[in-house]
Amino acid sequence: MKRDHENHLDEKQLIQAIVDQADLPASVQAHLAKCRQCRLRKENFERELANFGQMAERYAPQPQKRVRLPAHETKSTFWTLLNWRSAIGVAATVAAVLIVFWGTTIVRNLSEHGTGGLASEILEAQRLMMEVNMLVDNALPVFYLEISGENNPDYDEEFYQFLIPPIENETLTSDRWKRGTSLC
Amino acid sequence: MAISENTTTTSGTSAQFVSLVNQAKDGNRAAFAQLVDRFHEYIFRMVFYRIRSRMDAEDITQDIFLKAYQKISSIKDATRFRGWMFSIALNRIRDFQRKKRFRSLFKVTDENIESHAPVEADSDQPEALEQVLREDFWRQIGLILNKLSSMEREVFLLRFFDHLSINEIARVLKKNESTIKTHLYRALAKFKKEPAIRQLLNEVTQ
Ligand SMILES: [Zn+2]
Repeated sequence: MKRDHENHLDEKQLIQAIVDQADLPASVQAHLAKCRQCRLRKENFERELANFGQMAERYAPQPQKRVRLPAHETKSTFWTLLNWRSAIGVAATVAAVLIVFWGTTIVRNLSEHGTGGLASEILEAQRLMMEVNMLVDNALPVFYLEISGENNPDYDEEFYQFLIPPIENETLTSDRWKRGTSLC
Repeated sequence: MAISENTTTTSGTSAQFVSLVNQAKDGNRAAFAQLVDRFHEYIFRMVFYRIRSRMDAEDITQDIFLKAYQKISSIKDATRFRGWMFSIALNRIRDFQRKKRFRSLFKVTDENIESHAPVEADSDQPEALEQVLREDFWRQIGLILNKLSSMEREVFLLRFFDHLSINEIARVLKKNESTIKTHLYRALAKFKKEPAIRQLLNEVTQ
């Protein structure tokens, strides 16, 4: 069996004793109750902590201003209800309503403006494509077309047939070429 | 003021004190004014321990009492007035520190320790020497407390500077008692290992 002095409180148990002695195991509490040495260690640590608190109190300055309380309670129920918190709440609600109203109007205007704009853009695009197609068909301005004879109404279909033979003829030509090739 | 006297004045367990809180709760302004007289220095010091600036502590103390005056009707148990005041105070202090941290983003200087006019240490005036000791003490306290986590620091201050019981601290911080004890244990373990604290205590108690 250990001698009593061998069961002195260690540092952890000493701190535990300061925090709450009742949390120590019963055997340690029993030792603390009868060991003068451990009790002195605990009391010294407690005194250090108490001194620390006392020093803080001693070196803290004194307040130089008195606490001012508001005047007697004379607020009516109306003003109690309409305190600053309520006022902020009301303001926020009004702001929310206005935002929703304006938001709806703006969205509607945008939508109307957007539909008109879209239609005109489509028309513009169609006009542009027509011009592009015309240029693809004939890139020369009218004046030059007349000089070049492109616009000459005398040139009939037969003339064009002569210039650009139809596909059937080309097929024949092609066939001929194929046959010719085979003949060679 | 001795700790025992301080604790008796502000712990709020006497029948007379409970009656005073109940009167204040019922809208009696004079009763509340008496509570202010009784708690003013105590709450001011509590704020100062955490802010370490007299002027800021005065403004925050004013705010705390104003808030308490507006909310006194909501207090449920008059015997817990001190803890209730501490809850309000800690919230106001947290607000202040949050704003201060935000402001410090744009400033280079450390505002933690209030700057005073320079004091000649070799002055014959005892007030001048006291002032030097005071400033040095709070500078050291700041350094020591910075070694604790925020929770350890708060629990330590509440227990040994403000003299609240473990049960009161648990109520103020809205934690269970075993959590409070754990933080207090850790704070004390760090405190005991810190040679600067012993040195400081030796200096100031000489
Ligand atoms: Zn022992």
